[in-house]
Amino acid sequence: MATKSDETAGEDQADEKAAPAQSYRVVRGINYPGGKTGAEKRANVGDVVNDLPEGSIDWLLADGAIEKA
Amino acid sequence: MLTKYLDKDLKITQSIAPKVYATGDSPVNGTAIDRAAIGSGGIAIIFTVGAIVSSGLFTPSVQDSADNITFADVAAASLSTALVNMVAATQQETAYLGSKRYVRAAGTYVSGTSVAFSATIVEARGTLPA
Repeated sequence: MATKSDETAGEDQADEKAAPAQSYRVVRGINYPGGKTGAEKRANVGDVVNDLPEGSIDWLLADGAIEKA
Repeated sequence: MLTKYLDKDLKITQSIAPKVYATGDSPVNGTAIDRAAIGSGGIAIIFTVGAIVSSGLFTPSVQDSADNITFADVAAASLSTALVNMVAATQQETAYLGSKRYVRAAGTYVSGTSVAFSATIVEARGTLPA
């Protein structure tokens, strides 16, 4: 039987794992930096991406260009 | 007759330089304008095509951005005129009706051999829309 401390230890381990990046579905095509050569990446309508620049996500969501996948 | 110096009222920016674009050049992303720089009151984007070789197909588009990092295709509702695939030796104009700070012309090469293409953005000096 798991003890309280065992359960807590499990939670701690889960906390230490990096949270998976949020994925977003592209509603309108977008271009964003991230290509290996420094070139812009292109994501078309329907694509699911998880590497968008963090600072761009809020306005893209507000604008309806992406939605949470 | 009242004479006005239009160059004082307008700012003209070459977003996509005139060039013969081929398949390897796609997508073509223009230089963005910063509407805050001159208090842009209105924007027109003008796409011009010259020669098209072997049924080259080029789709023009307009993209906007709030941060000049990520650019999104502008929704049809935010353009005064819907853009269509370019035809040789023609010009298309549309006005940007959105409110994002950064706007640029773009294009996607679809097929054929090459397309001579450019895009210019004309800004009217004024104030940013709310």
